[in-house]
Amino acid sequence: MKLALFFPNARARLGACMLLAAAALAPAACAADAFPAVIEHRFGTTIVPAKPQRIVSLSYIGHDFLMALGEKPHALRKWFGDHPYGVWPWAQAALGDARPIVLQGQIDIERIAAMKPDLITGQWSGMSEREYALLSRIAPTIPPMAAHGSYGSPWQVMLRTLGTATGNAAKAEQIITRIEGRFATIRAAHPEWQGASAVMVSVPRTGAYSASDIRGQFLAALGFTVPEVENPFAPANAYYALLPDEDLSPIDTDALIWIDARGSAPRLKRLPLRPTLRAYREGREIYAGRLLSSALSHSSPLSLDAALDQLVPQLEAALDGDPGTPVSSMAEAGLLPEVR
Amino acid sequence: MSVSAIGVSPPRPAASLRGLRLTGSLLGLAILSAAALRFGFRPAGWDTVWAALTAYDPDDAGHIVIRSMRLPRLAGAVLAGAALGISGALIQGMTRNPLADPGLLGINGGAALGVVICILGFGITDPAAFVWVALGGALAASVAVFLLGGGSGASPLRLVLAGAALSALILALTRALLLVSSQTLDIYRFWVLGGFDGIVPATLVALLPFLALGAGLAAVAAAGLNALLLGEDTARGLGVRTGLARATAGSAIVLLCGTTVAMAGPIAFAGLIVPHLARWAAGPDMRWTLAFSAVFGPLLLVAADLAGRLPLFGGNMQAGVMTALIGGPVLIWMVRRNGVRSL
Repeated sequence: MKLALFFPNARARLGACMLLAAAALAPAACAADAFPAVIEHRFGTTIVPAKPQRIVSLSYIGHDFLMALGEKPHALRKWFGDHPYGVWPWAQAALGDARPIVLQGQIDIERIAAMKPDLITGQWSGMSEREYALLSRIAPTIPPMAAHGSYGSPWQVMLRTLGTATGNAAKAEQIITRIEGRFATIRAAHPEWQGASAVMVSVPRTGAYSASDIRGQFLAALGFTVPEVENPFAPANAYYALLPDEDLSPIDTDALIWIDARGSAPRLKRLPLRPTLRAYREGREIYAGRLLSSALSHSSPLSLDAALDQLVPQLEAALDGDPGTPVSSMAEAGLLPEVR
Repeated sequence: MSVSAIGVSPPRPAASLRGLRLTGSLLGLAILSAAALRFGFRPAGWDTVWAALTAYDPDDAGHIVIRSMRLPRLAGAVLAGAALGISGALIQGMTRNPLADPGLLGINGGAALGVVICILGFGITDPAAFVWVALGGALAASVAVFLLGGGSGASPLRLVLAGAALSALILALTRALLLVSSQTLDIYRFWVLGGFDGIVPATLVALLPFLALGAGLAAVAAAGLNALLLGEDTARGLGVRTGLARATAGSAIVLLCGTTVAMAGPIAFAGLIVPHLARWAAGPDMRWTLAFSAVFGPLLLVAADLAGRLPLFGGNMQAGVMTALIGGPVLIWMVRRNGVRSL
């Protein structure tokens, strides 16, 4: 099941084929850029009549995907950070000299209508069905796929969907093949990681990302198993389990990655139960500061490379079996145990 | 409590009743405090609580939870409760307004604005680092309210009006800033509820002198406020320097309430309801009202913090939310049975 979630290639490709075939447009070449493009999703079906020129990206991370495909959005939704146009360093080259309008906060439908877009993309935007209905009257709108929640779409699904919608299906497949290849190479080089447990945990409020979250999917793609942490406070949230600071044992995994986008290292340093974790005593913690945690949280075709570049050496140091090997990110953040 | 047989004044049953009530409340606080140490997400028995306090083992997770998490949390709730209770009684006495609460003087608003500027302008996101900006903001805002209200000659009404106006202005400014940054909003929205789960022992220690000074000033101000409750002219006639009495009480309020906001965020309602309970139990004497407020405040906040940890309320409800959930019905009940005394 987990595997199917992560590698839905075959199924999704087949689905796209069948859709296109049903529309009797390009029955032979699924990867060909074909318009009108037909996209099925959680709220129904969207038809993109022709290659879009003015794309409004409402997804917090979707502009990365569009830029990876060579499409520069007319407007994008800033998530966090203070980078130009809300675009993080790994995507600045792809942004080039484009000057997209930066949207922030709630989805402002009037403002979007004034932009006269010809495509609105919103996987990872949290758009409601009502918002989808209104946005659809402005331009063809793409919400998340039915199989994934608002913030759970795997990057392959997002990229493939946007590839189809923007006439870059072949390019999307190319990118997916390359990045999946890189994951496979890393997996092959680290047999000791296969089946080991790992979890990403955010501070300042201690919360574990589940296996269905994109950060959990990232670890799974490296061969790790991500523990199912029960959320004692809000059992309904599938991506994230808030942990009581009185019991951290559910996250005492073989590799424990602290996700800290907001400078919460001081809180982590005085988290009272942290010294009782085996991962702490055996030097198997990794500190993902602002840039790395954001790269993981974007999990986009542009940020995944940056995330792998930074995280793989850290994982190697954490899981080398020698508690004495310092994990450099923990040392830099001043979080190494004082007495080992 | 025995009544003195040789006392000059006749024995007053009210006094012994008062003593009984105060003793009972302190006993209640002790029981609640013990419960606050024992109950939480991680199960612990009385023996563990006792061992954590007397024979601490730094490697035992159970001991760590009680000693490093629940104990500072309890201390924070007790200190904040006492400070809010006392400052609430002072401000209601000073303004002779039973609806006044410490938030009225712009103290909470100023602290909140300080925190938002701190997050937005300097990227500081650690709640433990909010302490000094919150305190600074609270002090600055309350000084502004005092000056706007007419300085040392301020009438209670002008003071309250100036406080309400400036609080509204500061709130609008805070919200405008929050709209700009969703990230700030995220951190702020936990801080603004008020609670004790993130209390750091070092912060408590650093803030203790402010609380002690505030409590001392409150004790000094009590006699003057007693006279002021009889009316401005009567108080003057009794030889009380009313301006000085108000300034002393005002400083105590700002110190106590400002420090509490800095420590635990703006905890609503405690400063409003605790003085009513205290007057009901203590009678009209300001000194006794303050003493009762200093016990009832911790009672309410320790209970609120403990109740917030019950599964019934989701297991991690902020104490600031629980205060109103517990205090609201109590206040309504008191109003219904005419237990609320006018000032």
